[in-house]
Amino acid sequence: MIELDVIDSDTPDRDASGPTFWRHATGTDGDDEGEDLIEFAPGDSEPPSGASRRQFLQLMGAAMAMAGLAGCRRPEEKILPYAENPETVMPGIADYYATGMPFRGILRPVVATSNEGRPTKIEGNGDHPTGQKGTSPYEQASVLNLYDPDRSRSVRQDGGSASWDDFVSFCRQLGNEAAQRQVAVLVEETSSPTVQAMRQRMEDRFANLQWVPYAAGEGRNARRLGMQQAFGRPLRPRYALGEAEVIVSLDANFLDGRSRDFLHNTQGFAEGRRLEDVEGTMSRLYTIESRYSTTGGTSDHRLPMRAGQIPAFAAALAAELGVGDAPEASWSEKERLHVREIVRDLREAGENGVVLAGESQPPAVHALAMAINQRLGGLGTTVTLLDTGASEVQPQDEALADLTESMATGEVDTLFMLGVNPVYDAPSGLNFEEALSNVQDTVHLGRLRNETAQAARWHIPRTHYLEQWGDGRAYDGTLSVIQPLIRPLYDDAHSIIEVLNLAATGVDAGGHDLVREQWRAQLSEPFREQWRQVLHDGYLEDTGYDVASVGEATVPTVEASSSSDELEVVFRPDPKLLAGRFSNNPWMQELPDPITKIVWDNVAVMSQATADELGVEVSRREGSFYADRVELTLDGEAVELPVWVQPGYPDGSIGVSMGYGRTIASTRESESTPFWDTSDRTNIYNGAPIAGGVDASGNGVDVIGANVAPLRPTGERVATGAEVSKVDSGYLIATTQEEGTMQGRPIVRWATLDEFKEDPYFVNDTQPPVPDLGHGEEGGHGGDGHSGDGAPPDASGHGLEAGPGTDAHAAEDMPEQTAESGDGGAAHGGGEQQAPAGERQREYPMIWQEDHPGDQPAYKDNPYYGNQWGMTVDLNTCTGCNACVVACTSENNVQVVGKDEVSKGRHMYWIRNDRYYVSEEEGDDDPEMLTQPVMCQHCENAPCESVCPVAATVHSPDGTNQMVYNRCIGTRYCQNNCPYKVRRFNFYDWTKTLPTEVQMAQNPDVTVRTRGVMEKCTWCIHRVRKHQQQADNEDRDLRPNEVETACQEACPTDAITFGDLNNPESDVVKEKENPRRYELLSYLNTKPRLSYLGRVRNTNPRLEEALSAEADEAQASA
Amino acid sequence: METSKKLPADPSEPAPSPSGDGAPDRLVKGDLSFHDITEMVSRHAEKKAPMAWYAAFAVALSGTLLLLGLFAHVVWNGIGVWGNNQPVGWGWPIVNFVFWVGIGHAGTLISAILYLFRQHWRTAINRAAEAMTLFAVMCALIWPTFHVGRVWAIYWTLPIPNQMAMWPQFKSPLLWDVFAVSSYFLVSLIFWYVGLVPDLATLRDRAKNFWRSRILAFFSLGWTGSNRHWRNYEKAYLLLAGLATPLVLSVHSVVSFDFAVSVIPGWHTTIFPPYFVAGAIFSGFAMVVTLMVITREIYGLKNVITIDHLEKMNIIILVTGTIVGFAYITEFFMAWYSGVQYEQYAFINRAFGPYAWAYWIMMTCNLITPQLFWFKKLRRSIPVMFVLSIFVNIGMWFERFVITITSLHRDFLPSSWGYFTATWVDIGTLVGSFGLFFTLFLLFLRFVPMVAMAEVKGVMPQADPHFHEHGGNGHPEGDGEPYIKPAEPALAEAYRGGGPEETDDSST
Repeated sequence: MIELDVIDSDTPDRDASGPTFWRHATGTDGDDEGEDLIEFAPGDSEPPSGASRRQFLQLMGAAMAMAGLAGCRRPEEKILPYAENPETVMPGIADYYATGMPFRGILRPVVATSNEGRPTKIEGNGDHPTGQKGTSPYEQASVLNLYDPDRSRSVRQDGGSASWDDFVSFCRQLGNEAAQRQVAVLVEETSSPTVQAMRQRMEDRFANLQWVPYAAGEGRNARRLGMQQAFGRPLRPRYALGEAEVIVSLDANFLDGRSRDFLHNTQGFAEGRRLEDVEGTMSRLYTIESRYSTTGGTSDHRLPMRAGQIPAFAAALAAELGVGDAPEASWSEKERLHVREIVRDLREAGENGVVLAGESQPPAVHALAMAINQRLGGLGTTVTLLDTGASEVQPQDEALADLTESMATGEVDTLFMLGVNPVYDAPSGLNFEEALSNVQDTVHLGRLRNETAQAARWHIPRTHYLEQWGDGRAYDGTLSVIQPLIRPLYDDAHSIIEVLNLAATGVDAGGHDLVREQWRAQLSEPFREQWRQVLHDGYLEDTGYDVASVGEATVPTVEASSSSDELEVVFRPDPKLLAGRFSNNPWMQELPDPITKIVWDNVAVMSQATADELGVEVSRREGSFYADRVELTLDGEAVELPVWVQPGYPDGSIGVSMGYGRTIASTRESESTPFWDTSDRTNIYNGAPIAGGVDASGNGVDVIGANVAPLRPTGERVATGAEVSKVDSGYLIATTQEEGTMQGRPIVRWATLDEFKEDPYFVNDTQPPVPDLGHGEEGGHGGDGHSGDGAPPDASGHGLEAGPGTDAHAAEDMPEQTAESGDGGAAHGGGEQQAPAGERQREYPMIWQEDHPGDQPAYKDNPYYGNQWGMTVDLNTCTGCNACVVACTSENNVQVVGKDEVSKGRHMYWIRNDRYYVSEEEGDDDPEMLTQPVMCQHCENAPCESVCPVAATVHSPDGTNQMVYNRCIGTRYCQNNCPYKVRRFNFYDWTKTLPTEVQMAQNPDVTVRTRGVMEKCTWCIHRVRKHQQQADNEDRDLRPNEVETACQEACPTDAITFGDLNNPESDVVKEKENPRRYELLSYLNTKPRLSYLGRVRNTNPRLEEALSAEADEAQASA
Repeated sequence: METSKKLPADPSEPAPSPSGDGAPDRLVKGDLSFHDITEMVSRHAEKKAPMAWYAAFAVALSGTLLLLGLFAHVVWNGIGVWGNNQPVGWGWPIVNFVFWVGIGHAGTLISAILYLFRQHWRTAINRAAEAMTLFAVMCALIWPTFHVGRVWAIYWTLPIPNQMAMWPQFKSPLLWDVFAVSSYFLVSLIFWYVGLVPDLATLRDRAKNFWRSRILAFFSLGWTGSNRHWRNYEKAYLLLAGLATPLVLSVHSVVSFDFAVSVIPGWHTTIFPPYFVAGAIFSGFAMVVTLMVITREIYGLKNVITIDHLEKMNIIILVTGTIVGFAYITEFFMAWYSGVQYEQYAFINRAFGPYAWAYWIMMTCNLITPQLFWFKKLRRSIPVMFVLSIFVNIGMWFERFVITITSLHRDFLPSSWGYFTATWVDIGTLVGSFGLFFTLFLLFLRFVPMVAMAEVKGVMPQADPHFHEHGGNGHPEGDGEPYIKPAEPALAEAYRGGGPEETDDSST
């Protein structure tokens, strides 16, 4: 029999042992009066000691009920509050820290968002002297590398597990034997002063230290060598492309995230391309390239050319400009015309002309480009040469070759490989792996247990930059600190600085102390304040490199290009995976290649003519591409790759990208599910590491793509004499876009600069023929919105006869074509902002216009009054760099689905970059490229909303189209009816199998969607609400441009503008007044809140004319 | 009275007619008496089912089980196990839905519209056709239910008061679908049941088994065949026919709104409602022909469901098939005439794009092959009509495939174009739905009188009040005898003894 306490609530047992409960501070401080000690007043509630019978019954009753309920709910998960709340952490309020992402030897300044101690999002650091707010895709994706479930977790020794202490004693042992030891350090390229200091310590300890910096796939750092060739020192060029009138890219993909100074270049370029109105000017970009790149797609004139021919072309250009001599070369008429016109343009531009050379070009081309820039007078205007302090640079591959040789001959007995993966990415000619086995002690520090980790004796997990202390220099030399946002996820993880210090001194010091110590010398007094300031800002003022003064550049002589019959192979870091850093990053694997739109694969890219010659093909059937696979052989080393035929690719050239074919040792258990459960097949995190792993016997498992790095000839990025033979066919290639043309539809609207000046409203000319709907003037003139109904169509069958609602004065002010069609719409704000005919959308009164009904007093109480969100995307400055796509994925917890699901058409990315090829004639193999970011257009008349049977997608009072995940039952009708096809359906439970680590990367402000619901771009409504709450708390209105969407924030060219249409101060209102503004598929009357600004190309009319004349001639002679 | 009376089963066999005129225009052949009709029909619900029935039922039931298993698979894993993707949000499930709803048109059309138009020939086939309708609508309803992403929340489409104070969204055609199809099903069910009452009473009266008679008594609602009963019955039947008639036309119109109300080229078409209704009748009649050709053969109902009936249905197939074909061509004309490039592309893509094979299957089966029915010989040929009716059903399935999938896979922005490939689950569920349909239909054949006996009797010459005035000794048994003769044990025994095939054999 259970004895229950019977409690008299009036006289609680104050003598009972146990804690006393109290609610108020009063009465506890020394007041002895018994009454005040009773914390629960009579009748208030029962004191929580013992249980009454009633309470017992209540509890048991509830417990019974709950016990029944628990069975049909999801497993219970506890959300616990902090036992001790950390200072500064407020749940739900994110913190922001300035730090830096090491990237190819420089530091990219970033601001990381931390949610309750978890870094979740990376943005550019707009305050940094390099002055960039946006990012490349890499910064955005780097946060997922932190939470990579395949990260190495523990120290390994000789293939077995070991502890950090073991490694510490190994290092001490090493230090004790310093005199006898031949130590070499192969370290990733870094600009960190602290690493330099550690190098000094190592050199102090180990007399014959070999220190080799290494960056995968870099070849021989052509740019630095070229600068050395030209000026005697490896100066660092910085371009002011905003100043440039004529830009010539010699295989330089400066608008791609891979280029070191990407943000600065992209922003500068966009600066020179921005067009407010017809008075605007634009720079002109010529691209001569051995591939199809975003730079080529953005350029006004693009000339595909084999990489091997570009030096000769550069020399020809230079010779025409009076720099050096050109070797004998036979140029086609087209190429000759390009040289002539580029030279003429550059001469005219003078100091506002600039020539850039690309990384895959030999140093001579870089030197030539600099010589041309100097001749044009561009040094100082468009080009700034920064003195990095280095006096000489050794070609990287040579240094590696030297090291490998000394390893092979046994001259090295201890090798530290810090942050590098040479077993994977060194050219096979070096025989690195064999040499490695000759070394007695090898230490590898890496984030993944990768190829080198498996070959090395010691493996130490490396910290991610978001969990380590460090420092470095930005591209312009500004010193910055890397500060951690989270403790290393795995205790064994250490940074390069820590490992080097340990090896050099035997002291296991923390990164914080080492970096601080280094900076103590750097900073003036008072140190604490200065240090805090640097941590706050993320950089130290006025530490940029000095501008170098240089003499006349040495002009190198360029050999005539080798035989052009030989097939060349160009090796490049992958636009998504770099040379392997992002291989295991599912966001990047699923990011469509900016040009080919391929996901989860690497391919051998070639032109149609090359493919025909090789007898290979890519066939498109049933919505997927099926490619032949070829064996590519270079000097005995072979790799098998699927083929990709790329329009506009130079004939005789094959492009391959590094970063694929990984064999990473898995560190996690694979899950297996019952046979009826498909998550084994749909879970990208299942089994082997994402990029590919090895099983127990060392065979590759789920390897994505093939590793091409071993084929690369030492010191080069271009190889000739490749042999290609077809292996098999029918290899499935998954892309996110199968159709490459616009089918003659007015989707991306564009014109040349001259056409734009002639007709600023050119975007309206490319409207599809619109059925005569009979809409007349609407709004502001007493029209009821349908006043034009019944107006007879005019003779042109295109516009409208002046309907009853058309106001007379508008017709007078209108340009000719407007009057002809009698469109009275948008007669607001005077004639110069007049919209001509064809644009039905304009008849609808836009809410930022003065006489919009929303501004009438009667409407002021309407919920539609207030913030009204709108967006514009400037197609003129968008380069298709993909930063927005990854930013959106990171911000909105968009899930990754894997190759199979993408090939079925089930990718989830909320924003996509549509890429279209356009050519004058059908079947032209050298088309131009247009790119258009498409996300939810937030139609005012949304076709998705009216068809949902359960009202799961609705319109918000502030004008966005919202998706209520909880309400959605998944009929997919909205997806069918969306003309922009921006809705994404959760066909499977993508998050069910998400590893815990990856869950930590999710943004807590955004719902993680369950299976069976539709999702789509929300215009980051959670950010809008956050700022609105903030404004409410501060009792103010939202400031113009206060809210930024994730894509906008990441966009390096500010092509995306988001804001309040009801606030005339917002940028978006100004953007919408641009004459180039149009709405996608506006003929459907969906009234999208997102507008595009048509693209304008600044083509050279002389070149255009000459080219078409030449084409006609060629046709006539044929 | 001769105890060895045989039922002439083959209408081509001229049977001696009491009136001696051969009665070529008679709906029921073979000079059958009312009692013969009762026997012919009732016995199948009373005797043991033939082995063929068990075999067919086993096959159909395994199809049903396949369907259940695959739906469990879908619900457990998600819609991804089907081939649906982006941009093709609706795949086979919706194709199957529209297909089955279409099949479900013939029954109520036959029983309601033809009833109002006094088409007496309907009586022979209306019971089975209506049953087919009900089962087809059931097969249809499972698709929109299970194709949603979260089937456990499907009831949110119903206007049920709830704590969220949320109505469904009445602007959505999917919601109209919910109402249209469910009310169609409900009215069809009631209509069918009301028509069944007199026949159930017949079965009840013939029942030998206590429980059988109890159950039938319950369902026959105390029917005695009194004048009052008949009067009320006829009224109710007429009213229900009136109620069902607009539903026949509305349900597929509403289904067509699912497409027509959208903005997608190839869907956004005003011609859809009549075109869909015509298509539905077309496919429904084809299904009735398919089923009746088998049923009359196996169950020996050739005198009741005569070749004339089948011919009439074939004429309707010919007419509606031509309407549907005309609609196909009109769509093309409108696409060209509209001048809208998206619309034009959608139709060119239909005929010559990646799904051209589906389009030409549709055109062949729906427009071209039914034209053979212009020849009287062919439309009275059992093998020809059987093959053609199956062709029509294939063609109509492909019509829905063409409309749903080819319109979606390439719409406005070429960047989002895709392709739909069916998975094994798509195929399995479609096969399974036929399993469910035939399971239900076989149960119907086994337990319910498959021909409306009372109605057939009503259109026989004997039902004419003036029948006996022609002098022939057509009177069943002489004055003073009951109009409907109770079953004679000996005769009933004779019928029970032999299967239908035997009866056929002995008659030749």
